[in-house]
Amino acid sequence: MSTSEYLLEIENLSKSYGQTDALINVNVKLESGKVIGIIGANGAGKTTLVKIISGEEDFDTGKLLLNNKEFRPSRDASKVAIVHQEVRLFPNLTVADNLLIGTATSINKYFKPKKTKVIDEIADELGLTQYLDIELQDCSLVIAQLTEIAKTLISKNDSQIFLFDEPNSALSSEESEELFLSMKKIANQGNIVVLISHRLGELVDIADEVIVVRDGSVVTGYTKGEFDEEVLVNELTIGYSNNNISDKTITNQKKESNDHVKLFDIKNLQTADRKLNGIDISVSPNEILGLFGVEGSGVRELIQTIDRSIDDDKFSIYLPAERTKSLFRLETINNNLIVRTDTHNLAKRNGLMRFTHIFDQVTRLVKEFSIRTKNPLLPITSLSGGNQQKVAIASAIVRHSKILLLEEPTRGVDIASKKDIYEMLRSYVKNGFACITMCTEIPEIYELVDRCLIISDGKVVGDVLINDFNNIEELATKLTLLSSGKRK
Amino acid sequence: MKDIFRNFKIPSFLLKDSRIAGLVVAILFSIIIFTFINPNFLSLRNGLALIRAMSSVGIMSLGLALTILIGDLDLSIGAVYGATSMLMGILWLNGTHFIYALIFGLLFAVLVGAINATLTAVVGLPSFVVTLGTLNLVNGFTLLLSNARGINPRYHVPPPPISELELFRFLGATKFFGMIPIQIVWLTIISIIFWLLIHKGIFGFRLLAIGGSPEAAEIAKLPITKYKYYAFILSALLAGIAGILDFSYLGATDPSAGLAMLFPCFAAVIVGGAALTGGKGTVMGTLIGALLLAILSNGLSVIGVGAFAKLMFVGAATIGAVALDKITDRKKSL
Repeated sequence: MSTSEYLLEIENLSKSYGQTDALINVNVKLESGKVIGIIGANGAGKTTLVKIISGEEDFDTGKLLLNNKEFRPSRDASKVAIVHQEVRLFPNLTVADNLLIGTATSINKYFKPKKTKVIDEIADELGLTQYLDIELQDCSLVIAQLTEIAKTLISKNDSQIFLFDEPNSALSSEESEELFLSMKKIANQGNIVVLISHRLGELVDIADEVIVVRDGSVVTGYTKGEFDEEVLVNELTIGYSNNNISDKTITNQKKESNDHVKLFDIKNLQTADRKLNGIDISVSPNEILGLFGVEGSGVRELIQTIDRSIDDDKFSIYLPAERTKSLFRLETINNNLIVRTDTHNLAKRNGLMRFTHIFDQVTRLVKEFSIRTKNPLLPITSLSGGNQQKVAIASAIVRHSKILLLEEPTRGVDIASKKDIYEMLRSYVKNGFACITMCTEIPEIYELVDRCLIISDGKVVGDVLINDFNNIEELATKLTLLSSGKRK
Repeated sequence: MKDIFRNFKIPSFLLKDSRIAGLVVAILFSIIIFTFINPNFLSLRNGLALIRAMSSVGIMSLGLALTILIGDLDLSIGAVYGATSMLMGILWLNGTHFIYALIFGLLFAVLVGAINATLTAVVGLPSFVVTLGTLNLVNGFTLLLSNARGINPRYHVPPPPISELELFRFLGATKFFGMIPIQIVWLTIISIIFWLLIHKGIFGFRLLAIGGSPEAAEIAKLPITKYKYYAFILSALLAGIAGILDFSYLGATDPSAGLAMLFPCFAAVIVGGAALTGGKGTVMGTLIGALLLAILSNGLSVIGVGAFAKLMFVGAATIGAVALDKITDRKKSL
């Protein structure tokens, strides 16, 4: 084989999980010194590709070449460094101590390791020198991110591939600039920097090359100058028409929302930390309102802030995305279903529980929401993830609040349960109630939601009626374009 | 012989709760060993004395269990036990009617519980710190109030009215049918009330939910603060009741009475299967835990190993029970 000028080559790479093919025959060639962006819709295979490069997952067939030598990242982790999305550092230690942790050698493992020249050099390179003696909790987020990068550089000084997974989702635009500058520096030292980002505008600015992953394959590669934001948005949304969505049959069930009456209307919602900045939001009876935005856009804070601003659970009820918060893990299915209901539903005047009444009610709920269990008196943890999520949503629904506030109602849920959950929510709003749900997946918005607000940088940047779109591709284009929000 | 085994049915509550089943086995095992060493152990008289002796630990453990079920703990119960009886005794011997002195003593216990709850649930301090503080605060107060001297109403000058003295002695020192100590009756009544509260009532339903998943409880807007008040106030109140019953039984009390009760109470609750992280535990387990500790303590006395070795034994038994639980739990999950 002739020597090529590529640092990393991926040849005919395939990976499947059981019956599903995650990656099919992927071929990529990457030169050193470049910043490479990877984009792809949820489920396209982007995450799998990144995990294989980082060595978190093994591949089935194909090969990876680094400097013309075959290598398997899952066996040889020293060549690839990952900077994770959420910073994994110790806030109560100084920046210097954070860098020193884990560097103890066998000679001085009983003493606190000393700062070495390497550490000083790397800190200097990333502009961290003046922060070395400050506790991390007193530093800004960008310093924390840079510390994470420095730590990666120190512990992985053989690495030639650097993966950045949404590194700036919590940073302001000036801070992001700083981060990108250090990424360029790393690339210029003969390495490859791979950047995964939802913010397409940034990719246009910083990436030398962009790879598009769709349906398990790398479909296109663009080099600098060949792409702009519009090109990338198109690439991201093409695949949607192929998705197995039961199309307009569902959309027809959606209620024509009457805009005259509002159940709820908040103007100029703000938070002290400026994550939300003057948001107007309202919802009508019978309406399912979607909130869409990328991580760090403020959309998660928005749903939580709405919950906190209405402190009356007769009026609104909130269900977080994490099941550790929405369910009582030590309790039975039965108890989880009724734990949020009123005292007089649960107990007689004398305080004793109405066990038979509750059990009848639970039996009804289990049937109504098709929760698959042999016995509702089993622990909640005996259920599958999808059925646990149905219980969580049912426990909020039985409260009969006017507004249901949901956060990613189908995260980590199988397709069958997803359909059940959409059905649950749709029949709930038929009774004159409303539902506000935060979604990260466009198919969910298309299938479930009547109207959608798009959030970017803590502001509402779009308000669309889903019925106005003829197909999911159109919707996806609009949402992706608006939410990728060009930074000033 | 085979038929006996075939027809023998294990009660269902033992099968459901492996911890209680283990405790029952341990209890039977200790009874057999102690009886073997000293046949006097297995007499009705010793049995009743043993249950009498565990009753105050039993009562206090039930209160303590509430704070542990909700995910906190209460270290001040021993101090409250001493303070309540001392405060009641001093008020009474200084001319207050016995009933008023009794009510005042119990109100003091409620006050300590309310302070614990306020600092824990409203201010948001860890209950360990709060109750460690009130433990010393209350004990110091008792020492100050009593000049560090014990009291004995019968030999007090001037003596309290005979009728009140009889009422006082009735509370803890009565024997029904000449053999059943009234403290066993109190323990039974309180246990039934607690069993109804925790296992049949909405109180226990919410208490366990809050203790098991505090985050979910907050999201579900359960009345967390209110329930912490209930738990801490009942815990202190039961400690006060136990203190007064023991005062009445013994006829005398001293300011540091009760400090030594703290460990046995925790041991009973933990051996009984409650999780210190909250949300898990039963009335039955707590009582059987207290019973096992009483049997060990009484049995070791009967065979005459001495008080210090007894302490060591109880300490080891507590750790052993929890360790055994952890190991079997791990086996189960494998």
